[in-house]
Amino acid sequence: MIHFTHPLALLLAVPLGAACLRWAAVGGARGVLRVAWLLLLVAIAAGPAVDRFDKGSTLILVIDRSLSMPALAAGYAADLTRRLDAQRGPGDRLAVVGFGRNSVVERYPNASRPPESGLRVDPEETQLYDAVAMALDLVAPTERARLLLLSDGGTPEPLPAALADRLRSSGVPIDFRYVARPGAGDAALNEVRGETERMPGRETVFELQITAPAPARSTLRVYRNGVSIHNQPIELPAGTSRHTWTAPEDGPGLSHYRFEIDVPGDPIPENNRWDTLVRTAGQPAILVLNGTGDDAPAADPVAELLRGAGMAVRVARAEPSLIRLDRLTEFAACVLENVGLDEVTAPGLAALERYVTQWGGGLVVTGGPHSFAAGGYRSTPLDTLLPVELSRTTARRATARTLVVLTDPRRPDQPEAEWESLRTALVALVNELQLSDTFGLVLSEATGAGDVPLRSAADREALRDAAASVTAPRQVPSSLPLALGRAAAMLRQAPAGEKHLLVCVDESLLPDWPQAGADPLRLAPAAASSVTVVSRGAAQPRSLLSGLADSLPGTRFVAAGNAEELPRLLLQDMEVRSQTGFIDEPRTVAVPSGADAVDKPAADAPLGSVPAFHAARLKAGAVARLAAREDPSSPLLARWSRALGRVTAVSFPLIGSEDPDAGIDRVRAFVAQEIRWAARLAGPPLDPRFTARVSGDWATIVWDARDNQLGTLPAGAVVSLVGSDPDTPGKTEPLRADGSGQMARLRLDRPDAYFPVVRSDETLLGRTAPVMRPRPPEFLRPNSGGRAVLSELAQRTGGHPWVDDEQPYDEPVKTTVSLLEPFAWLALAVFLVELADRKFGFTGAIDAAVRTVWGRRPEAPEPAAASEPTGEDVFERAKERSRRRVTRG
Amino acid sequence: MHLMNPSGLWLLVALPLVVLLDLYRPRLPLREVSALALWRSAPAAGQADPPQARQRAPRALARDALAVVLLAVAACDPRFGPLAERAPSGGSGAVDALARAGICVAAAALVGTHWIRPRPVSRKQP
Repeated sequence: MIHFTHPLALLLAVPLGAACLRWAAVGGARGVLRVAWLLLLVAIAAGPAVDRFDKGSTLILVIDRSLSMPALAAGYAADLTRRLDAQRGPGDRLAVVGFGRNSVVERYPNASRPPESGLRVDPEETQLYDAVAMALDLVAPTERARLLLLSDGGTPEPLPAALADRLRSSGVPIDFRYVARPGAGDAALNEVRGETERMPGRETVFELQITAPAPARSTLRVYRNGVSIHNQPIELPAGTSRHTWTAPEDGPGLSHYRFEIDVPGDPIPENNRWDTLVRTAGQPAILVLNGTGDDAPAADPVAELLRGAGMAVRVARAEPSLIRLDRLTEFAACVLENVGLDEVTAPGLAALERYVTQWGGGLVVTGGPHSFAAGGYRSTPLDTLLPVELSRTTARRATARTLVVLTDPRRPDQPEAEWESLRTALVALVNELQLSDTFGLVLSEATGAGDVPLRSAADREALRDAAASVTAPRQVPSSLPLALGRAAAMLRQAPAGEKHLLVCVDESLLPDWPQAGADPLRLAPAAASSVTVVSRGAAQPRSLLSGLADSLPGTRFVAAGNAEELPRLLLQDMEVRSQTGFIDEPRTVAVPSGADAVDKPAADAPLGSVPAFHAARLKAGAVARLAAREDPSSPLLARWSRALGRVTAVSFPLIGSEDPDAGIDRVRAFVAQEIRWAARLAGPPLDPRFTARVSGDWATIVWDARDNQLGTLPAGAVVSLVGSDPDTPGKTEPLRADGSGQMARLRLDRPDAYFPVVRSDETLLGRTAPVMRPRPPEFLRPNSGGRAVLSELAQRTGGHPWVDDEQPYDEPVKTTVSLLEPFAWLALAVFLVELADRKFGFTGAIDAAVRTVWGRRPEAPEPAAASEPTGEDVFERAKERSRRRVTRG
Repeated sequence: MHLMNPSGLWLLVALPLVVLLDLYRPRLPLREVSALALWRSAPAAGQADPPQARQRAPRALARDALAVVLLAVAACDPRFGPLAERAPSGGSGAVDALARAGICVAAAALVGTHWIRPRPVSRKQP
């Protein structure tokens, strides 16, 4: 309801009205305008306002979800959230922010808004002030709000000045509930010192510093790479004591040691643990990955070649558990010996890419029927690493092929874009067919109405049109078993030759795949010579379809993360199946004219020939070391530096030296030389003066300049930390002068092994032993001042320690909102209309219109003419007319 | 003086409109009249305002513009005196109310001068 702050001012209406009547009285619309103008001015003078009752307030519960919180804190926080939700009055709002290292809005003040999805709190640290800042972001400027902190206050940082200013200006009080573990009686493993790098055959002595509040009998456990290697009781005196433990000798490689002390009744057992890494460095070795893991010279000519050249070699089967960055860094270079993409897998590819580009490792890829384009390398991270551009097939297949594609019909929620991707992929497949091939398409719905029957690839236009117009009837349920039956029948009817079935379905359909006794493919294994299952979705089909793989050895499983990947994956499958680009013809090897003269053999020395090769072209920036004499533009051996690492592509299969007449030994020697280059075994060594040490969750990389004979460090050198986990973000810090050398400090954010690399631009300068954070930062620092931190926040904002039975929401408050501005705008509008009327005079027309519609008065009857005297006296009648005329005039 | 609601100054955007309205002078169509006696009640041909009105225009424009400015100032809720003495509710004091009333009366007076009817010319008898 509108009221006036100074109603006495309304009396102004009296003198203003009187003046208006005296000097400016006018009727009609113009008069209405003038009266309205004066009344609005009188109202403005009196101060119009309206009362508003602010019924609701916002309470933001900020919950510490870090590891340092007591075990019962999560349950208490859930119970508190329920109680606060139940206590909400009309208009009250409740929001919840959970925090650790990061902050996540678990519930918005607007309850209908869903919480932040896909985010979870990282509990390894307490970033209290970031959470407070995020909670303040949820408060609207004019809103009454209050923050309630549920935390142990264990933040490593002081209060930022910007947040302090914001707390002061926002006026939002912060209450707190201090919840912490009891600190008394806590024993802790404060530090473990020992070598991080050692020579093979040497023991390592670790010194442990342990603090105990009272004498206690404890147990020391030591794990190496997750395996327990020591479990003995130790006596802990009161206070700080030092103990030593000697690690037995270990083979070359990286070892992860974990030390644990078990103290009964310890309130904080998480600080009784310490992780450290030790690298045992031997002779730089080459890792050779092949398809079998067979180390015999006859089975692995690359290993035979490298051993013959005096290099240390380890041969292993290419499998995902080995192609990880922490395993790869044990070796100077990695050789993929005729290995297909299926063995390497996507995580392995990512690890190889980081191994080469960020750690500076060497990568060598050798040719064969399972590598390069035939191995599915095209359009993968491996493709970008290679110094050669992979070509599509240039040789015709001798046998005809039948390709049947099975795909599922439209799901109710499947967007059209996914179907467009599938159509694009099918058209690309049709384009790859040879004239002797046949193609068919089956949709996994029950009726088979949308199927494209087998048709020769000679009729390519028709096949392309059919593939481009594939769509599924709506409202048709999927039936994978029926569709598989039709696909198997189609393959049986196909002409003799290779028969390939490509099943491209959503992961939700895979559980419908028939069991062995009802599977038409397994019942008639000859129906399809190979099967590829491309599932759209993240689920792993291996467990579901392992039986299929056992029955049909040629089965491949590929998981497509999204529909956009389909064209690439289907083409990749086509290339793998047809061994695209692999030309099984001998080629004479020659040294290109531009090759390095130092490595170039004598002109009269024959280099020999290779039995087969991969069609490829040299990429810009790469160097061809060997090429086919018949086709100098086709590189057989090429190399380049890729970021920090070195990559060599050997596009022909390496064979043994059993045929010396072929001159292959010269080629093999050339290849060995290139692998030595990729592994940095030739040329100047890396600078050995870099060391790394860990203090808390910080790593310090030091370069010692005392040994000047090794030269100086280039300007602009930086240290990069490469995390073992692909999700661990890398870190870079420039080296700065420090005493007699240079140093850089970097924080270890994740519980991951970090590999420090020193570089200048794209030149690798050196590496150090890997470093690791000993334990979560929550337990690296004693939390002694948590209550003081929370109290300071409350004191700055007018908050207080919160108790459970306290009213959490503010009482309703009446606020007065001034209406001066709306009234002024209204008065201005009236004034402008009045001003326009003064200029144009339109109110006269309004008045006339109003009179026409509402103001028409009934016609007054003409007064009856006075009856003229009917006398006969003409004189009297003339006098009467004169009298009337005089009266009218 | 403090303006509690500075956004009221947005009312000043009406000033150009006031100036435009003042500059615009409608020309009336020629009208034929039947007798000389009627010339007195008809405006001059092709001219809305008599010449003396043109001379008055700058002052009229100034009064209208000043009225708009006063209205904008009133909308800004001007306060006089230190802000620290204000009540938490933000209510205005008597001085502020008097000042606002004065502003409103001044605006009313400025506009009202346009409304006063001209004094009829008396015909002096010879």
